[in-house]
Amino acid sequence: MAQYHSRMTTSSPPAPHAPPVDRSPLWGRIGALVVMALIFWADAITPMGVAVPVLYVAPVLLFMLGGYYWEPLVVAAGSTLLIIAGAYLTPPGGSADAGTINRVLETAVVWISAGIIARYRRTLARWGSQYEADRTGRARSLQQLEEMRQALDQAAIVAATDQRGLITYVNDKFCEISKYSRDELLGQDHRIINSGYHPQEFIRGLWRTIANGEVWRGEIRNRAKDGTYYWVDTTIVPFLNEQGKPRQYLAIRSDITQRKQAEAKLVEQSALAQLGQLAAVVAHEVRNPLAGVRGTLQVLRSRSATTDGDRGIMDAMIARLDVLNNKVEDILRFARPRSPVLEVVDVKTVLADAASSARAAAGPSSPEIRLPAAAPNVSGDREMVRDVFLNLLLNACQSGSTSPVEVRTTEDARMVTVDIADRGAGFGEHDPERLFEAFHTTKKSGTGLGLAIVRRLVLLQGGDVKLLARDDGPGTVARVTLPSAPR
Amino acid sequence: MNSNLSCGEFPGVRAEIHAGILVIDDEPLVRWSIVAGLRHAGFAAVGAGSPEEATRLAAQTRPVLALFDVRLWGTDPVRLLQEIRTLAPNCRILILAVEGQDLAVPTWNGIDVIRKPFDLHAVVERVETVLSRPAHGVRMAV
Repeated sequence: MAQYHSRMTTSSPPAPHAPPVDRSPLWGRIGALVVMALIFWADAITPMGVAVPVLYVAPVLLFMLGGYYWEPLVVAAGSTLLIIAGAYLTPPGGSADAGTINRVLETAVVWISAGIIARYRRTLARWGSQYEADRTGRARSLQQLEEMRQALDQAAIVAATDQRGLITYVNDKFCEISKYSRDELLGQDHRIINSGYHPQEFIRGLWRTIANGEVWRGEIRNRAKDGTYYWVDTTIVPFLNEQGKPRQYLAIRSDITQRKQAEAKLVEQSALAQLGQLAAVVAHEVRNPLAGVRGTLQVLRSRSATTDGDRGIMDAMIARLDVLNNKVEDILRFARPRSPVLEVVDVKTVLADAASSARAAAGPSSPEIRLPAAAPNVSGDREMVRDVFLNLLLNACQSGSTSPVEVRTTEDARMVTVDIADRGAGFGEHDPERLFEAFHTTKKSGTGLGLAIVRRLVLLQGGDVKLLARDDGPGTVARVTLPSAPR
Repeated sequence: MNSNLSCGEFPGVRAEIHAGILVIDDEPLVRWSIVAGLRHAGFAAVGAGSPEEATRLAAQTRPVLALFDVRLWGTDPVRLLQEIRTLAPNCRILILAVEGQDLAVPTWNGIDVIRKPFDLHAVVERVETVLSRPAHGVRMAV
């Protein structure tokens, strides 16, 4: 942080009637004596007729900005004596008449300048202080501006763009939160951090507002370079040129990611609680009659002749009832999962088990699943861990690619990370966070609960799950982290 | 329910067992299908649609096994169970419940649960398994 110099904070504009004697008069007086001595010495060694004594104007001028009014006159008097003394000491040379005329003229010049300075030194001093005040004032404004900028940079995420929306300035906090370097951001437009979350109309409304010269305020979700999301409370201020058209936009943002996450969690929890109650009632009300219908169909089927064509119909009905029941079960598992029973889970075994089920479910065209040779243990609920892997492996097998699905595990002090990577089309323009929302599906059939259940189960076990784009070509990486098993 | 079912459709048919089985459920189709399935497998099964009917039939038939839905009209299932045990001391119990449903009873220790919806063949198999065990091996811890 820059500091004010104390001189700047204490100086005030000079009062018109105050004697302007404060501009380092002591140094002015000493300087005048020294300069006069030097001039006298120079005069004494140069031949007659050389106009050295005119330099006695210099000590007079030293009182231009300060000192008492009589001081330049005293200097002029002193100078006159020295000029006369010089006339006797100077070695002969040139014309003696010219030397005398010179010395008279020089004395006159010294006295005239001393007179002017004695008369106008107040005005001159005022001009001087005025000039100085302007200069320090400008410096102070600049400094204040700089300090404001520094304070803003500490407090907020700041970016400036030109009228086309190209980034011309970003502060460190902007780089920090977006995880882009300054060089990567400058010259880009804000699409670089667009998360695709907000509808077109929202973005258009923003631009309409600021292009009209009005301030825009709102909450925006952005995407950092590593694919994570952050929420910012944003104020965009347009600055206009002489024609009233925006010249540049200054965007000041603050990070509200945590608040947004807390809000989303609250909404989700209350929705889940209600859904849970609803699901429990619906599940019973649906499954009880479903059980009756299924049982009855089985009895009727067994009573009909083996050759009866209706048997096929009844088999199909039973199969549909089972599908229906599975969907109800999905909803129930999502809405009311049981509490996890934590134990040490051998990830390698569970992965192998889930992989064989996933391949069986994905059918004969399923890609191969490459499992790691060894995997660390996690602390979790065996059933739930298996469900999570099964779901993600099945998604990976159904990604549309025939390249093998690769599973890798890594471990740090606290967490075990399991990456399930496919070579499918990836999630493209879909927002990977939204894919975890309940009833959000990109498949033609399905309840859209698969990933929602996965996330719920993982969170219940103190872990996390993310979908990432592969960095080595097309494809998706599903990354599950679960707490390491205690050693 | 007149049983003119052809044998062989359900596995494990034991025509010689004529043990009485009581099926207690308020959903008529559940009751009917289980009764029909059990009769087809050679058991003497009757269905009860209410707790009153259940106690009446328990007194009449002295069943060796009762299957019942714990969510029966908000009845206290433990009391109903105890009443049936009093009327038929050797009666074994099989619970019918929907998946994920809390059984709302202290401990159904040693008592099997059939989840709804069920496969009828599986129900018959479970009934046979339970009947092959000695009755006193089943205790309810309350």
